[in-house]
Amino acid sequence: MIETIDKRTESAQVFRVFAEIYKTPTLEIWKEITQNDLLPKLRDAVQELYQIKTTEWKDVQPDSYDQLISSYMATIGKAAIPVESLYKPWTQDETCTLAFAREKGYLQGDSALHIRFILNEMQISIPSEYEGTPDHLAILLELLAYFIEHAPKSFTAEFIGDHFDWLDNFAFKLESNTGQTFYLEITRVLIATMKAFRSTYL
Amino acid sequence: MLDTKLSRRGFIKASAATAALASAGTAGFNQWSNNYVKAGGKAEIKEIASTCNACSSKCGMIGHIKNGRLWKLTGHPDHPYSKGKLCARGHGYATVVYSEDRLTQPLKRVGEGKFEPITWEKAYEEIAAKLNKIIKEFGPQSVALTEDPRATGKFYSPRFINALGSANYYTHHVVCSNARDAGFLHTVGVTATSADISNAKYIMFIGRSYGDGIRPSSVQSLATAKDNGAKIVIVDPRLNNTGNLATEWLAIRPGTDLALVLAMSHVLIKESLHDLEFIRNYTMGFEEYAKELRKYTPEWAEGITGIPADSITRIAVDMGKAKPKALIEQSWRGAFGCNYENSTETGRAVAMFNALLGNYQQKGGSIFGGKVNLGKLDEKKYPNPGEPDEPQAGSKQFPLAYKGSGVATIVAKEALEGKMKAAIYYHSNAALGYGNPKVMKEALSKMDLVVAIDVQMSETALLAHYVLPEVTYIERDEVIEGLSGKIPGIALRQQMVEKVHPQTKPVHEIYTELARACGVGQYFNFTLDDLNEAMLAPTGITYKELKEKGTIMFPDQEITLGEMPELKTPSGKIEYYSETYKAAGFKPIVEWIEPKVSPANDSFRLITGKQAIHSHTQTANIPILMQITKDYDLERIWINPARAKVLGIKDGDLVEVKSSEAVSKIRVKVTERIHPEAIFVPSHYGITSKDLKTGYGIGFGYMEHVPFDFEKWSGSGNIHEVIVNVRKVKS
Amino acid sequence: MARYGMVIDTRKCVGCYACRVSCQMQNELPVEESYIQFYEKETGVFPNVKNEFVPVQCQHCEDAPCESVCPTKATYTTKDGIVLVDAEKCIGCKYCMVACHYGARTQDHKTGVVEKCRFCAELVAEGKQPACVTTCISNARIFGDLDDPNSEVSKAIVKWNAQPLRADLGSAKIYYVR
Repeated sequence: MIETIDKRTESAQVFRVFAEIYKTPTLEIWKEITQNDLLPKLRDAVQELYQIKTTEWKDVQPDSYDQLISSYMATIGKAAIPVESLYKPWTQDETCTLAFAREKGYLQGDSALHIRFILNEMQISIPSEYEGTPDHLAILLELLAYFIEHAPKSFTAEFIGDHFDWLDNFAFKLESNTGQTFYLEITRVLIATMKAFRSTYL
Repeated sequence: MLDTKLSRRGFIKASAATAALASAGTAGFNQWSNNYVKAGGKAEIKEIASTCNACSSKCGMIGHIKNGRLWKLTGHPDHPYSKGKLCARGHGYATVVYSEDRLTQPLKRVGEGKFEPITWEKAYEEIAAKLNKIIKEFGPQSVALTEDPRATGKFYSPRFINALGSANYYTHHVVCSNARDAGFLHTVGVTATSADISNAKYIMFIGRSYGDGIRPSSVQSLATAKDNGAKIVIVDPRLNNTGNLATEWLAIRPGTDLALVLAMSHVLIKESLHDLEFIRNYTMGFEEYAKELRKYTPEWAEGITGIPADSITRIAVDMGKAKPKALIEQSWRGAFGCNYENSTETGRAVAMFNALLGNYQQKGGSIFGGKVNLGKLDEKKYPNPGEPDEPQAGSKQFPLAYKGSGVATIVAKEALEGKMKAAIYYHSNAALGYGNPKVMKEALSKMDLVVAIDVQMSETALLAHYVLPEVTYIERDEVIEGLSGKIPGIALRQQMVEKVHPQTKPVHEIYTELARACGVGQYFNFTLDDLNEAMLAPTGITYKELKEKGTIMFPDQEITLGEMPELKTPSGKIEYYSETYKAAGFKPIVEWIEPKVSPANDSFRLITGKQAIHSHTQTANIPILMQITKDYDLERIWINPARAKVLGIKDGDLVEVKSSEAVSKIRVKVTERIHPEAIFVPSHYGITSKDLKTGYGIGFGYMEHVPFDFEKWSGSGNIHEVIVNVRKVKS
Repeated sequence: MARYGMVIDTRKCVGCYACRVSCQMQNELPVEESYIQFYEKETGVFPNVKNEFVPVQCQHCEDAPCESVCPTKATYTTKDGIVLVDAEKCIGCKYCMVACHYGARTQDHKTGVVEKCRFCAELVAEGKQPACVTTCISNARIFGDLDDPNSEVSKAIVKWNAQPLRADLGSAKIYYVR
């Protein structure tokens, strides 16, 4: 029992670290990467928890903070933003007669409204830079981590089913749109982790 | 355990959430969706009256907002341009608010096409430091600001650059209507008249196409005129889409419209069909003008324009008989907004022709629109920076150009000469659209500071040192806009939804904050609401009422037809003879001017124009509109079948278009609708910014072929003075 | 009971595509799918040329061939003369697409259901006009009851001698002024 609780906490921690990586890079995270071996630690954690073998991340790890920023700007900062709404039809509401009601590729879709609803219900406030995109991957992962620790398993399972089914498309976009590999590799591991977590613990 | 300090950065801190978790335990996406989204009927729908921004018409529209999101758009029934309708662009462009290609945070350029996020504070600080340094070293005349004006920009942009001590305010008109504006201004005292189309009996359009550059109410007026039996003549080297509503197409040789207008004027006078009483009462210099016109016979014009002398005479006579319900429509860019070396003189000749018909302020004629008297900020409380001492750059070289627009490409020219050091571009893609992109890029790269304020990463933004992200027109309030017309009115753009990207800002905030950083904040010590309240004060309308209605017309202030307003020319009359021209070193009487270049037997003139589904390159990244281009191959160039045959070109073939400036590859549409001397290219394509994923790579930008140039009179871009060769290439 | 029909005055159509976009929105079609196709017809030789835009959508034929070939009776005509498709019954066999003289039908790539212009039946039931008519910037489209001699649409047909696009292919409920 204690072991299970520990593993839940540890899984939550893994997703929290992933969440950090998808946020706009800061010097703080860069220090964690360079001085605290964040990436090898994350790698060891997913291997230990879910037996996921990853490639050597040294190859994809940016050499400098500037390179991390430029990798971010070339990928999830601009060309392939990790926001769920972009990968799903904008709305299920049949009364909507906007030009793109059923299209993908637009912000503030139904999934954003749903996350906003959850955040309101739970009285969780998020940083202002995410208010327009509450279904940003960083927010989703933090919520997931929170649910893993506090919510019933069925709720967490439903949450994963509802809000993480677009990651393959996101990875595909990272792959086809950009020459940067750092965020792509991270995302591949995230997808594998998510899958393993679901089948192992839920 | 994965040990890191990062977890403290997470946003879920309080455990207040835990209590709520139990009750929210069932609200998975599907159930939530069923309860909140699909149960659409239950949610409140708010209607907010605002204005469109898909083109410069800014039609009134109503946004229907549900769950805080944009839901549906309809045309504002009271607005004089939309009259309850929206065009394809009006519906389609609104999608930009939720586009993934928007700018979301301030950026600083760190290399070619490479940007880093920067905070607003830091961006203001750095921009202000550079601006102040440049002003200190080179004087305020070395900084400039350019925009495609909308209501807020019209007020804030000139005030901002004036606050810095510079008169260098410019608009996009250098590639729009600078030539027409100058020609009209020095003849009738305003840069543009409007027209009472629905009551006209004989309407001539020169290059202007209501069916391609759409304002819904204009097309309706023309359809009404047609139903009433009006004669509608299209003068254009290409049979444009208004052709369907026309009774006749004059397939004129490009660049020779001036000869046609001069000859028609000649006929009116020769046949004594001009309105002598109007000319006596409201014009000056007619005798000299009439004398000059004697040589411009229809036969002379036939040799230049390719239009039979008989047709010229017949149309002029019929227009003379139909006067004053006959007119040459005033146009915008059309054939004489910025196209040829003779465009300003064509504009002047058109304004004069309409005066021969005595159609000003007449039913079915040309109209000087009325304006609502709007108030100003109290200068005691809100100091006005005033007109700087140094004149606007370019005003010495081009004294005839309308000062309110200036000559925007002078910024690039002076940058290349090392004189212009800093440029701000707001809602303006000057690097792609105002002059040859290669020259513009070189010019922008030479400056010490370029700032772009925009909603997307335009070609201009890519060259800027700092890119400041604006909210879209769906997310902002603006300054009140005056609507001039037979019945004047006012309209208000209003915020419909909360900002999607919290780090974007409306431009009035950007100017106010940047002014403070530059140390000139005292000129921006008011809010947008203060300004709008001050503007409304004399109208007797409350801000609340305007916010509710969005558009308010003033039928009690309708202009009186038959009553000429006071003209703003130096003489107070319509000027057939211009002292202003004389003082500026130009001939005071209008005369025939040759276009600058002429195609040879084996080459073509490259001409351009609009399509109904796009506005410049602004809509090129909108999927629902670009799909129409793809479905109907609308990016193709047009070529006449006789010329195509000689070159072995068939419809749909891939060809190479080569000018002195560039080489482009494009497919062709072979059509009888185009003059054999011309190649037509639609003006909406050729996006080179890879950040605009939908528009990138479709068609080519005609400006790539236009030599960087200034028309002698108005400084406009001479965008049709381009010779190209075309040859078939393998696809 | 009415017999709904439309007049399209091609002399006024400027090919602006506003009807296409508003139709796509009303029917929530993906950007690649449209119920209205545009044909350009150019006649004459420079400089004596005429051009015509002909917007074509479901013509709501009398004795519609699409209806008679449908094996499941998914395509039917309402009592008001509007030809509709019952998505529940449609099996996506495309017989109707082949039978249609006007190429007016398109298949939804996701559901396989064949669809086409529906004269905005829901709007019409509420007494409103189809979206393409409301948005038309030159008032080239008129909609109404063909059986009512005083309706705008009936009067326009008489006044301008409007004809079906292909009278030889049987009678339809969209009349063109050309």
